[in-house]
Amino acid sequence: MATNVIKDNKNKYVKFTKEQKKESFKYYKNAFKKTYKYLLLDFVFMVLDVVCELSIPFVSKNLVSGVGRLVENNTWEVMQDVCINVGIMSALAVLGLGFGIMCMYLSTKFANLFTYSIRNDLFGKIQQFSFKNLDHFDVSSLVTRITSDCNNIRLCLTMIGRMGLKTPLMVIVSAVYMFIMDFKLAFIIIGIALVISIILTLIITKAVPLFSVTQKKLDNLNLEVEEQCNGIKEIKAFVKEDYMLGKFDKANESLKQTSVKVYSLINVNYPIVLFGLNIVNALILYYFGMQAQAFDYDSLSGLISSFTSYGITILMAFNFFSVLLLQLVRATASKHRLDEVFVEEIDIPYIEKTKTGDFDPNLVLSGDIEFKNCGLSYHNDPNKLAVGPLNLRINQGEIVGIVGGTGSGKTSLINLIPRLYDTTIGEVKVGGVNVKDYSVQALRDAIGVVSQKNLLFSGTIKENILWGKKDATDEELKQALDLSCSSEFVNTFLDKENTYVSQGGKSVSGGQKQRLSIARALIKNPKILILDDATSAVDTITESKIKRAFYNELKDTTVLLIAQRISSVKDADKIIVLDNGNMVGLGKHDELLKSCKVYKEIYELQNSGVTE
Amino acid sequence: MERVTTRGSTYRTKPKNVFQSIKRTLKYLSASKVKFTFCIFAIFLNVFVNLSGTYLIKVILDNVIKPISEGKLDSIYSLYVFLGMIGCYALSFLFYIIEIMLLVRISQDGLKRMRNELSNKLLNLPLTFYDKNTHGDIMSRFTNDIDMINEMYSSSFNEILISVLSVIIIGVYLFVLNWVMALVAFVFIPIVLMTINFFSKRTRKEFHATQLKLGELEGYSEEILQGQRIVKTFNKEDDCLNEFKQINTEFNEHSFKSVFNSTLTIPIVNNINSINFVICCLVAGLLVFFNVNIPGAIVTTGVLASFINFIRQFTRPLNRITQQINVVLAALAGADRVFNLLDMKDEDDNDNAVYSLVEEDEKRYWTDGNVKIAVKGDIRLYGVDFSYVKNQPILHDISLYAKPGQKIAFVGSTGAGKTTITNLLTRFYDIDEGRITIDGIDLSKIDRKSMRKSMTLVLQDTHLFSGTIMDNIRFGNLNATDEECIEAGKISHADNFINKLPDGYNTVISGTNDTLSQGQRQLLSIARCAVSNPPILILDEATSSVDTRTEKYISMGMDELMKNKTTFVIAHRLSTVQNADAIMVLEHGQIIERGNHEELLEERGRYYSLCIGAAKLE
Repeated sequence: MATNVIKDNKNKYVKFTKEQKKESFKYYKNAFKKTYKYLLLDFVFMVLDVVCELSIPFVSKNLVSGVGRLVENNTWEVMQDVCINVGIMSALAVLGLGFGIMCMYLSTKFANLFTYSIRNDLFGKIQQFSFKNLDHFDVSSLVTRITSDCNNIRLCLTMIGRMGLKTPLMVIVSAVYMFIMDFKLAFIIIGIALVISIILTLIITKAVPLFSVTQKKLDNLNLEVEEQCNGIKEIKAFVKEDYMLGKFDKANESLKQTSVKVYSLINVNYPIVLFGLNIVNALILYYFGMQAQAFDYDSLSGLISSFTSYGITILMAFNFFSVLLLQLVRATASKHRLDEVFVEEIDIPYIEKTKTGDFDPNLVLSGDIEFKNCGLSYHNDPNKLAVGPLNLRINQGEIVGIVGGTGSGKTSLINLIPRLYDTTIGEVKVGGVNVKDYSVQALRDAIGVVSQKNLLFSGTIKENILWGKKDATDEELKQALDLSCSSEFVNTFLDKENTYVSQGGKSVSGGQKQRLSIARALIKNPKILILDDATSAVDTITESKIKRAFYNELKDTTVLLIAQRISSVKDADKIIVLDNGNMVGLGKHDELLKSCKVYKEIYELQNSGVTE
Repeated sequence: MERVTTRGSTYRTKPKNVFQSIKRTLKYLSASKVKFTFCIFAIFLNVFVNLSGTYLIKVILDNVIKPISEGKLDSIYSLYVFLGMIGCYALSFLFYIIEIMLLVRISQDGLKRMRNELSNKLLNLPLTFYDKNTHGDIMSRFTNDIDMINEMYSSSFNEILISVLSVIIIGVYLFVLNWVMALVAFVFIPIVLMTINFFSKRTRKEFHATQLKLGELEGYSEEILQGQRIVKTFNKEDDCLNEFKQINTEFNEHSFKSVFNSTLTIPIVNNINSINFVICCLVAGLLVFFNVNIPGAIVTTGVLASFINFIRQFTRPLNRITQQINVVLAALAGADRVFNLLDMKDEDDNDNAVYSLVEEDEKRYWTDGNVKIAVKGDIRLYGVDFSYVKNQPILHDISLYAKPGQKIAFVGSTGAGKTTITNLLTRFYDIDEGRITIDGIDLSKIDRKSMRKSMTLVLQDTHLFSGTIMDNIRFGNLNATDEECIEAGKISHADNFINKLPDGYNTVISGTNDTLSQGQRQLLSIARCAVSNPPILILDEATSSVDTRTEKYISMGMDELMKNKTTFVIAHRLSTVQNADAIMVLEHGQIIERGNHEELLEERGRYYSLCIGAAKLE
């Protein structure tokens, strides 16, 4: 049992080294390489779009003052002028529409494809993870990274692609126009906009840390729900519904209070922008009203309307920056979580190995196993070994039992054979060759493992068994099902081996699941078969049937049986007794009863019921 | 047996009955009617003041600035007007802020209430519910669905109200300013709405498909990552990656279409707006040019400037409404799922229980208000039939009795129905046929919770709750003192391992972590029972993964616990069976043999072969 592995702290913010940053950057660079052309093209259209959009207030000013002049001076020439402006503006609108649509298309394409690529890389990276790497992450946190975190990055990229260039351009051009029209007023308006954007930024920086607090409280609440689901039988049996509800209410109240804080902060942003806008509007009227005598009245209305519209543009742009800032903060946190996966160093990588002389690293020739002074530490510390150091030879075809209490290192020991973990000290040899010299795939192909926590995947029984051998014939399938005593129940199903099973589903019982897992390993026709407490839920009669099959049918296969009960391994060719990670006994059942104190103790304890 | 054929859970994006859902969702907000009314008033005021600002442009241009520019009015009036405007704006800003603060509180209160109701419901639903729904599905009520409702409460509500009010107020102002031009502008409303509707329909369709694919992506990742260690031992990494890529590609296609369609409305509506603006100007020009003098349709510079400003603000709320409609629809679909759950029948809904449990002078009695019957633990089953799924009988014609203090053992292969019998005794499920009595009272006449208080249960796979070891023992009896809990730990022999833990009884454990072995968990659950100590005991012995020393303690603890109690035990150990007063051998849901150890051995039947089979292995 891997009880002593280190789970990394989910909430700790680890700083990356330069190499790690470089490593993770590789993935983003790769994604960018595939998508940058969309972004470039997007920017081209965006510039065109901005030109159209900003020309509109300019033309509209002419249009409005044209109509204004018409009121004073109703002549055909002025009307002509109005008509020309109408034409120009319509054309601009149509062009703007085209450019706008192109922008939307390209920016969406860019963001989606970029995220798509990152998501594939992420899943691909996780597929390369070794057992040790997997110990560092929760499944649920990995799934969140694949879904929510990637989505946060997509949202941020979409925003940048859509407005990232447009907004600064709009701000600059609007500012320039305003300065041309009236230097003093432009200065005041931009000043107001800056003050407001500082306020917005302050609010957001205050809200950001609260986000993670909310997340933590939400996690707490979810934990309560999870406990309600998992412990429902206990809760009902002990009539503790009210107690659990009380606990839930506490978590709920605490979540509510933080949420109120966060939303109160975030939601005031827009009113502030709106207030700023109104002040600017009033200011413009006041400003021009004070100097109305100096202006000609007709051009005043045009000036006021242009100024107002540029003012709106600038303030809205700053509002957008605050939203973008928020999204950037989220995306950065998400990126950091992705990077944690990307920088994870794979300790058992898949490297293609080529033939050297007589040795073919892609072929395991025999099922001999040898442990040479080897030991494993989950902390990479030779002084804290979970198992070992030990020396041991197992010959091809032998059936070997491994017994010992919880935490005695049984699973740790067998994990070394298919290189699920690498030894901390010493070496493991299979077929006379160090396991590290084989290509990982070839080694694992030659070894069948039925683990303690066996799982089936969604699909038919047949599909699940064929995991062991893709191109297995029906004959082979039948044989594997027979040997594992699965046929007897599979044949009672309506759809036989085409019956659908799901990972969490209850269509097969625990014992049946174990038998199918054994079939899945058997169909590989492995050189070495490892069963880690794999028949615990199988009833005793079936268990003995399965074991009988191993003795009779798997003559050339080395079989390693981990068991809690001595009765399960009594007949083995060799029995290894582990205690606290050390091998304290090795031999046949009868010999061990005489020579090994630990073994004898376990045996007596287990049989006390019978002899009583 | 259930068969799950899709990986992702089904995901609806449309509520069944929009109005009913809205009504019910809003109910959660209306807890405080005064605050709620204030919110609506504040929104109205705010919208009105903001929009009136635009109307003021006309008034100020025509009645203040024009006279000033013509020298008829002192320019100081401009300052008065400015101060007046700022005052109005400040007031409406203040109201707006108060409104937001209130609304946040109201909506978060509503959400809290909804979550509490959900949690309460979950605790009171029958176990059949948990058989049919995955935990992931249940969790998503609390996360995804509530999240969407939250989104609706905290943004859509405001946005929609503001937008609708804006459209109405702008419409009125446009009419007041110049009704001919207003009519022209109104022509664009249906055009804009139709455009928006066209795209949002497509968006909704794609959004639905995207969510389905996202569910599949999530489901696939979850499943593969859960089994990643198996994936590795079978060298299936590349196959898995390829399948993932395929799902990801499909997801990405739908996601792209959904996002693109939803954003298309932005440039389209923007530019329709420009056209609207141009046409209004043209109409204004024509009105002037042809000297049309209809009352209410006179064009002045002020009218023009203000009109054009209104037009600019006209389409924004329309756009916002449609954006929010998508959010609201998704939220209502989520609310539907929440309400569906809330509307499910509680465990006790059909009960006609009259008896409940009372405690007097440390003794327990069943009472219906008149008679008092002492709780002794006499349990009888008469011809009990049961099935989890109709027409798939699990138990058939089970009859047995247990006198107070007796120990009844169930043996049989997996799936024979042993656990099911214990599930019926605790009334996790109700029987189809037959009768079960406790102390002569029909089980269905006893209030479910009272009945459970008369018994305690040790499950094979014990669930522990996050908290200290002490908390977990006290779960059996919340009134137990620390001393009583430690005493229970000693009785159950759990304190051997507890004392070895870093903080002893105060060691914090989490529900899901695996710092404690299955055997240690079972020891704790025995201690939990010891602290509650009722007259009936149901035990499910652990079969495996318990190391021998722990197992010894478990058996000692269980023996201690069973003293003077009516005990039902699903037995896996020979010693347990040997000590039983009666052994029931179950096969395919029927009792095929019964008697004590010696009698059954003599019978040379199924029990004998089970023992021999075991003996052969031992």
